[in-house]
Amino acid sequence: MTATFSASERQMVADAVTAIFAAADADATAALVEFGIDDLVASDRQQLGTVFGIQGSTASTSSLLNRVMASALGSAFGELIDLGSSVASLVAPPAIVDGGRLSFAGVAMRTGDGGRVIVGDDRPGGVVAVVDVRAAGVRVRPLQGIDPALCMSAVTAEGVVPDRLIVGTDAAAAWRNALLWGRAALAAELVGCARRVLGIASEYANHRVQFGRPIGSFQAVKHRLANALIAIEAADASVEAVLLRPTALSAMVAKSAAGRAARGAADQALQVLGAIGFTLEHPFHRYQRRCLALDRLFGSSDEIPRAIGAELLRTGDVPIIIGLDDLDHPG
Amino acid sequence: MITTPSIGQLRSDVQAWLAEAAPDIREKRRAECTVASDLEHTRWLFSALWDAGFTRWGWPESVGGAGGSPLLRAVVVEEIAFAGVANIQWFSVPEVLAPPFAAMGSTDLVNAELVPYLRGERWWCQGFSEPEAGSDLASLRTRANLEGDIYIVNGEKVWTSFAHLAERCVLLARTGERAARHRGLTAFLVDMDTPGIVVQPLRTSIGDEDFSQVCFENVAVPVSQIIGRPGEGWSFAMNVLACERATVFWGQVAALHEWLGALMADAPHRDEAASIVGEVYQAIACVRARSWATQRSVAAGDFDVAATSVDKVLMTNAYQALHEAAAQLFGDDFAFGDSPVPSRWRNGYLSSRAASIYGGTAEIQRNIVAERLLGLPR
Repeated sequence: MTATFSASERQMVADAVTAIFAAADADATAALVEFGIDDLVASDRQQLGTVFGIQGSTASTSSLLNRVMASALGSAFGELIDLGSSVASLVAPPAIVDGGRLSFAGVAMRTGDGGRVIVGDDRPGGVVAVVDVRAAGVRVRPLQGIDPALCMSAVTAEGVVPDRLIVGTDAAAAWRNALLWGRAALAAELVGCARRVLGIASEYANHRVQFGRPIGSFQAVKHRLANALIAIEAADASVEAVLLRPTALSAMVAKSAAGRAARGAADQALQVLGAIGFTLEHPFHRYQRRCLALDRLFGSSDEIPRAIGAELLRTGDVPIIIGLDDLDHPG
Repeated sequence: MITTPSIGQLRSDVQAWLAEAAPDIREKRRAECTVASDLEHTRWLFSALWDAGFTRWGWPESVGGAGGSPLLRAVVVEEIAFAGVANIQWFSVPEVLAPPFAAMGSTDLVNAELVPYLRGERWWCQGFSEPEAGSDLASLRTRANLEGDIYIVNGEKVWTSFAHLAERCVLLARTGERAARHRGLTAFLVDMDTPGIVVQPLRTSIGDEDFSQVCFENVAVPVSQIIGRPGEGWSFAMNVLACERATVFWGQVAALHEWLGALMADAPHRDEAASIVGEVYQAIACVRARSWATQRSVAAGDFDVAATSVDKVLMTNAYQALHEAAAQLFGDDFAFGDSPVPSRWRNGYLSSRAASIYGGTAEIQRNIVAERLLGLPR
């Protein structure tokens, strides 16, 4: 299903989503679902980018990523996976099937007190499964990690019977599709987070006076922040490319570019903020932690380029991720 | 009356034409290896593309083109790049100089000069930089004094690419007071055969005759050769720089894809090759995505010149990263080998180092990004 939204309608949605995140305590999922977020992001890819961008720029948390990926898997299961309330989670570990039983170890987001995790493996002989975390053989250990607000858990399973299971080529393809949309969403979130970080640092550089002038007038400071913006704009453009022409490759490029842009922005911003950036009272650290955590999910900006390079060397092809023809047929 | 093709239709027309002509074009080119002969080859290709009708699209009918969106020009250049039948830098020059010229030049001047340029009959060079005016272009000293209906030009330009092979020079000269800085500049299209012009080619570090020193001594330039009006030189120059950082990149990004393919075919696949190649691809794909967004802005007419500094830095980084990758993949052969393939990549590497200097240095671009896009104080 595709729908066309006008610019003003999109702005209304962005304003509403911003308000929902601002009003939510720890987890905005319930309010977002009530708002109709599932249909919205499913019907208009640009909205997907907008919503995740806002989640990133406010360092908010929700189970939206889980829902987007579950939705992308829906066709493989022949139905939309019922996620229950707000606690469905994801793991992307190696998964081993033995007589319909599954063993895996991975990291999941927002497991809370229960719910279901999606397990995926896109290697040959692929696996996609939905596992109830209360099933026998599943262990969930809450993690602090670098960003405790994300409520990560280590999930391990030994010979567990999944609620749903598909294996083989179809499963690998289904998981690749889920990864595509998960990476696109994370890339948009990282860009949002990075823009906020850069905004904080730019504002500070405009007002903080040393040697009788704003530090932002020093070229060394300017170039740090300019480099951050250049990387963010590149990542933003690659997010737009994947939303317009979604492929596994364009999603990988976007995720990797966004992860690197976000980490770079956090580094440059902290250097400009100086000591205040290291304090708990300043909000910067929340964004810094979020940038570092999201970069690791579903392939880091160090791992993804290596995977892309291996594929290019295997095929000898240098694919293009977007073309002028796409301007004739905007998505 | 031919209907304007869609982007997709023009692309397949050019592809079909190239499928037939490309082997012949490549063969013609292979025998030729100097800068001068490569430009000669390109001029032939310009005339062939114009006569086939492809490169007329995207230029207004009022200036001798066939009309349609400027994106149609980008499609043709892109296909030339993908086909690997020409050095795409030659196609970049008219894409930078001709659009501002067509927009600002008088009807008579444009009618006399534009089509011969686009057909490859005449080549233009860009006389902006001077020994004392590089990044600080507005401080340039070359003077053009009005005497009757003739301007008398005196001064010196330098780093003028391919001036020794050009029939025309797009010259930026001072017609006002020096204190007026950028407000006292005027742009001219000067015939390089005019008495008083002396061109001295300079050899680049790889031995090519690429850029030149151009001296003007009492060179008489008719007022009819002014591009725009007296005093509009800075505005013209800024339009040129905007083109230099915007539409032109579409073809160059296509060339980067082509070169990465060539590098993967040419270079040994050492252990760390996947990371090296992947990092370069990442950079190229990002500049492609960014340039795509810029082309869309150009087509929509909501184009922000300052924002193109982002494109310029990304382009420079990707281009230099590609050649850094070549250095890493060829290893000792890059530094010490004398066989043709690593030698070619080595020369490419040395050329690529200029990209963060020409067309506005990397530092100038970052100043623009910081001040105009981030709003940091000047």
